[in-house]
Amino acid sequence: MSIQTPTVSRREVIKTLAVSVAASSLAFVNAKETAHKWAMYIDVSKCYGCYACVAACAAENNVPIGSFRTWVERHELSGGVAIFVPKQCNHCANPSCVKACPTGATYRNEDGLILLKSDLCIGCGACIQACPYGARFFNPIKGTPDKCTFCNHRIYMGKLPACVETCPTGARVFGDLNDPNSVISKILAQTPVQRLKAGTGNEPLIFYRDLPQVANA
Amino acid sequence: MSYPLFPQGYWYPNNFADPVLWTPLPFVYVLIISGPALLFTVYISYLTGKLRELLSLRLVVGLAMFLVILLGPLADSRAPDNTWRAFANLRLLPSDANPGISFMAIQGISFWALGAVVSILFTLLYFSYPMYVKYTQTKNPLYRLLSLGVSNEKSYHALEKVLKFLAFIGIFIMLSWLAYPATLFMQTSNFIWQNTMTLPLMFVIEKFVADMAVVILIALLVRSLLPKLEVEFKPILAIVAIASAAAIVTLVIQMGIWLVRFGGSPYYAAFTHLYGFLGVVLTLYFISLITSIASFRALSLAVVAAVTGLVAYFLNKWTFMIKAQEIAMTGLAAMEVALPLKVYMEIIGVFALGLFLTMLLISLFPIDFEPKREGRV
Repeated sequence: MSIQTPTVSRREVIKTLAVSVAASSLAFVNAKETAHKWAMYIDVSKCYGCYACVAACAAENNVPIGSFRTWVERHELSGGVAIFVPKQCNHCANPSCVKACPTGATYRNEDGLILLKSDLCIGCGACIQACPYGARFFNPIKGTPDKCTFCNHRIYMGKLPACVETCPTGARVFGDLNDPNSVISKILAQTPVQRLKAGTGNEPLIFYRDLPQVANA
Repeated sequence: MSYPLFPQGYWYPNNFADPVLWTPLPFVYVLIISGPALLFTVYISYLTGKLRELLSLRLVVGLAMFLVILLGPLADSRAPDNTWRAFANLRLLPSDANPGISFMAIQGISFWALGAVVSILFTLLYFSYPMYVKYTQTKNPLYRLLSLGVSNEKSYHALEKVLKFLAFIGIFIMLSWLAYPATLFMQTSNFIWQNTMTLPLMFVIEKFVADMAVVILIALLVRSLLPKLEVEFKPILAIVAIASAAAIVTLVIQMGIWLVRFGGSPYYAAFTHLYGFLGVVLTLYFISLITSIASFRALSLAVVAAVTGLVAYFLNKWTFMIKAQEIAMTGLAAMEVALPLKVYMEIIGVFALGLFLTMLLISLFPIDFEPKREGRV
């Protein structure tokens, strides 16, 4: 009894390989396209300085007293008008803090969030010195730098960051820029926005409406 | 008009809470930075055959100071138990997750490791035959071990190519280290560091003042211990004079640039926060310049030139490293920060270890050994 082995031509092998490579590339491209690009929109004209976001953030993330993952600056415009500008880590697309880190402890995840692997951190402070927004601080409890994570422990469960959820006027809007139907995408498509310290080239992913020049130092 | 968020002006709150992040770290670099500067001049002297005065002493002092240099950052680390990761997880290449390059990783950590290996090898090979000579005089087996089996002039002469190769590599590493703190500061958002474009040049120039001042002081000390040691001070004093003059010119130019760029704006007040210290620095450099020139005729003034040069150097570095961090990241506020006592203790501790290592190496290696111009004994 003879055993018949299936014969496969070289052309078929190449064809199969080519199709596989193309399919996997397509899957990779699709995966890249479906990845999130988290961002925040802050309407300065809606913020009246209640500091609810600051308190919510501190409670949610166990932020030590005296340090801030988010804070609200009060500035005074001509005519004595007070204006409030919430600030935090900008999760920059071109982050200077990540560049300065000597061990790769500070990194950018696949969705563009700037995060920290505490076990790799040597506590050198290079990231804190590099951040032009003053958004990082040394957390004495953790023994490493700390900053806003866009509440990454919440957003991947479908929840909003604590500061956004608690804002009583809807001054903060959080969402995915890769989703054209998200609220933030729609707002950014229709509204003229500003970013903090655009001259640094950091390309922040927090977009402001009505950002006063005095708050951009 | 900005509403002052704090009584001290417009600060970001995290910056306000912890303004001086790098405390003894940069200052220890300053105190010990004569290590790379000394090694740089040693390698240049070895390759060119010029300025060979006190070559062995410069090598030993430079090596000792260079080896302890990273204890500064270790003392300043907020996670000291994790600092071994600076070597284990060194990030040299950019990636998607970690774009860009870190000057601290490349210039600071990897170049230190490379520089330490090159300098230790250079020192061992440079002293190999002299150690054998010392062994024949004392019969101490340690000296024989340190001779690395080089027991005659012919073998020592054969090492010259290797020594020149090491010196050639060493020049680039040490030159990089000379400018390292300045390049590190350029990768920050500190208002002063970002707006002081002459910082790398100033750091390199000033290190020659400190470098040669240290050599003068140690040479005077060693000469009092070893009266037979011949020391030619004039070339070293000439370097102090030239470097002091260059430092004065650089500082004046930088102050002029600040005035032209920021004069009349609210940001200019940030620079005036430094002016008190800078005035003293300029005066001291001027005294160092005059006394180093006068020392050509009256050598006793060399001590004054060295000490004023060193004090000016330390004070200027304190200004640009510590005082600069007292200015808000916004550039619109400043405050005085009192550093805790432990910071000063750490600085003294690291420097003392460097001195101890220097004395240990001086007692081990024959520092009165001066190779001939061809590199032979």
